[in-house]
Amino acid sequence: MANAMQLMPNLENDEMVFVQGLIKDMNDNQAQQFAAVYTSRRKEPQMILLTALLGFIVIAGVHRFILGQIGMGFLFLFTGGLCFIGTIVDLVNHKKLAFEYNTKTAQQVAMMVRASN
Amino acid sequence: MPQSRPAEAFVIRRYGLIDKIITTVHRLFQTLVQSVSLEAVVWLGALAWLALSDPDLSAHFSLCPLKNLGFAWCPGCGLGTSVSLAFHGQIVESIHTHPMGIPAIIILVVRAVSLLLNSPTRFNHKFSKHWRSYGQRNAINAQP
Repeated sequence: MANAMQLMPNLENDEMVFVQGLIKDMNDNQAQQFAAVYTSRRKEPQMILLTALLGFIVIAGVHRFILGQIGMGFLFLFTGGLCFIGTIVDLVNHKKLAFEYNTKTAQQVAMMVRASN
Repeated sequence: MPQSRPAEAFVIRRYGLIDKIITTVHRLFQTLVQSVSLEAVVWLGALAWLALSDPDLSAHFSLCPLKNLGFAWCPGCGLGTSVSLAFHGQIVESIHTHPMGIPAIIILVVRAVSLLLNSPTRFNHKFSKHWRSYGQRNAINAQP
């Protein structure tokens, strides 16, 4: 049985639980492949936090583009992060935003790994 | 010793009840917060507020953090009025006030609906039982 904590020690707590649920039935080869692909594709909550903070200084909405939400990205870009209110909401919510993106990515990667092996 | 015991027992029982009530309320609140995305609540709440408020009054502009900091203008100035005007059917005025007003409504509603339908898969199972994410979660867990 694959152990997420050994393979990917840098994950967040709830993310770790989610990934462990995904890879618990994989064999070692599959789990290592999953770890390699997933750690390169996931987004750190810290990066979301920092790019959201950019909205106060330079340009808002970078974190939404990074998370693949193009519509929200343009909305934030053209309205200064909804007059800073959207930026503040995202600062509070940055862990959840990253978690949402990472769970989607983890599911896609797990499907790819299962299909290729 | 036997004389003081009933009083203590009463106190403990009473605080135990209060404690239980507080714990239950806290747990319910936590479940609610975890099951409904904060982001979706904020977007939909803001849209509902703008739809219900009067666009000509524009009293809600005092909430703008930039204006309170002393800045005269920002790229989002007029967005709230624009959204409010669009909800009241004044489309031309809405576009003139801020061109992103109507796109903002569409983008925010789409985002909120997608958040509510695809909410995080395993941490809100209590309320999302009948939603789409439940089937996905089971399908993933059922794979060999």
